[in-house]
Amino acid sequence: MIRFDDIQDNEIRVIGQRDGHPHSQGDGQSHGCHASSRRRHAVLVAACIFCLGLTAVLCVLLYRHFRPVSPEGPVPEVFDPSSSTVTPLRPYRGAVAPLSEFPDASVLSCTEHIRRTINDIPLDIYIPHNAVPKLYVGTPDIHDKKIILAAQAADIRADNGKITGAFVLEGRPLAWGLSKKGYVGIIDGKISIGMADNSPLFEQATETGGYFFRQYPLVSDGCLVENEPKNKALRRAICDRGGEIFIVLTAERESLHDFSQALVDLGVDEAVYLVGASSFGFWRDAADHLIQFNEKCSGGYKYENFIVWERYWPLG
Amino acid sequence: MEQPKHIVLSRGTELLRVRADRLVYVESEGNYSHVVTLDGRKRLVSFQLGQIEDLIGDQLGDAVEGRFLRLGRGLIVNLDYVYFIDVARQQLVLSDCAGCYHELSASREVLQKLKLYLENDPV
Repeated sequence: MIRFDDIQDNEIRVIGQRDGHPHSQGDGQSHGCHASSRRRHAVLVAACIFCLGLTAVLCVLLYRHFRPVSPEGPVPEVFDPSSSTVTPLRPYRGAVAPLSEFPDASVLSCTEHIRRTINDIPLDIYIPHNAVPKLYVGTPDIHDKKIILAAQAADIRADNGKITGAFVLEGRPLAWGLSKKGYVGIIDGKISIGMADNSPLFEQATETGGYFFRQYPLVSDGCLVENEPKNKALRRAICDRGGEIFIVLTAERESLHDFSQALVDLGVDEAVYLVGASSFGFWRDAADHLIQFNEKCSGGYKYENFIVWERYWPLG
Repeated sequence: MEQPKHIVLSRGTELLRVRADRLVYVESEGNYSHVVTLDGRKRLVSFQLGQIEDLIGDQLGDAVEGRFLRLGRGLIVNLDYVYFIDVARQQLVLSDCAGCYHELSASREVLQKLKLYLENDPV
């Protein structure tokens, strides 16, 4: 089977064509020219990489040869990775003003909606107020007035309908394994978002009746994390910005890279992906109006799961 | 009389079987795809667009050639239903001039190439 993963946004291709190359109507290029141009390009890139590598090796050798030697013996490097504590390469962020415009003293349990445009990408930001986060397996009831915000959390494997990556529900592990490095842990009602191969939050969640799931990491320590999928889609993420937790949705289809960059530029410290595209979700505003992100499709998976925020009942 | 060709998308416990001539377009939605049929139904399947493109090519064989077109990374369209193209407005309308009518959006480059393709090689 021929795999067609090389098409660009500006190309068209006749399906079933024997040679499997993108159709080049209107650009005046033949398939042969196209392939040959690609080969030339690859050779040029390889040559450039080789030259850069050679230059770097020569520089290192010359530096070592001519480096002045201190009479007191070797001087420790300013940054010695073997002896210093690891300092994350995190840009100084300082205190950030919260995005929320709600008064601090408000006791209203609801979701605040803000629209911001970052790098020409319109972002819908949903900030839950006076509510407790938890995970939920199944489809939450939109008529359950306790829930002020719900969005799909971990991915479901298409082949067996099970949850992708480690997942803990009220202390019960429902899935194990590391498929994505991003994680969200909820311990005693507090959300922690981060990126790690192994997170102690998984064990903590099982010991304390907490919650845990994994997804693609988008932002870690204020820096963009690159991910493999390159396609464009409607994107969602759960974010931590100076301790303020919120969900972000793109209004248009974006690549993961552009979405992550927009979150970095929004000032987000940590962000992990949530199920995007046309996945179901809903929220309640200050007037208790119910607004759905998308209609619920029929025939959902058994382990379809959501992160939901429940209001401090009956306070709201 | 020749039997109509079908496209079969099977995964896990679900199977979707669509007559090729009733498939209007397929739209990418991240790792999933929306399959839109002539009756206006839109079904989400857990296949990437590239996988569906492969399956169409494999399952329909010679019958597919020239009927379906991949437009960029986001769309597969059945050329039988291409009704209107407006490159400037980035508008593509698929219709059977009966009850089926879908307004889609695509890049100008893609629409320009589609327009040229249909001008030179009308189906």
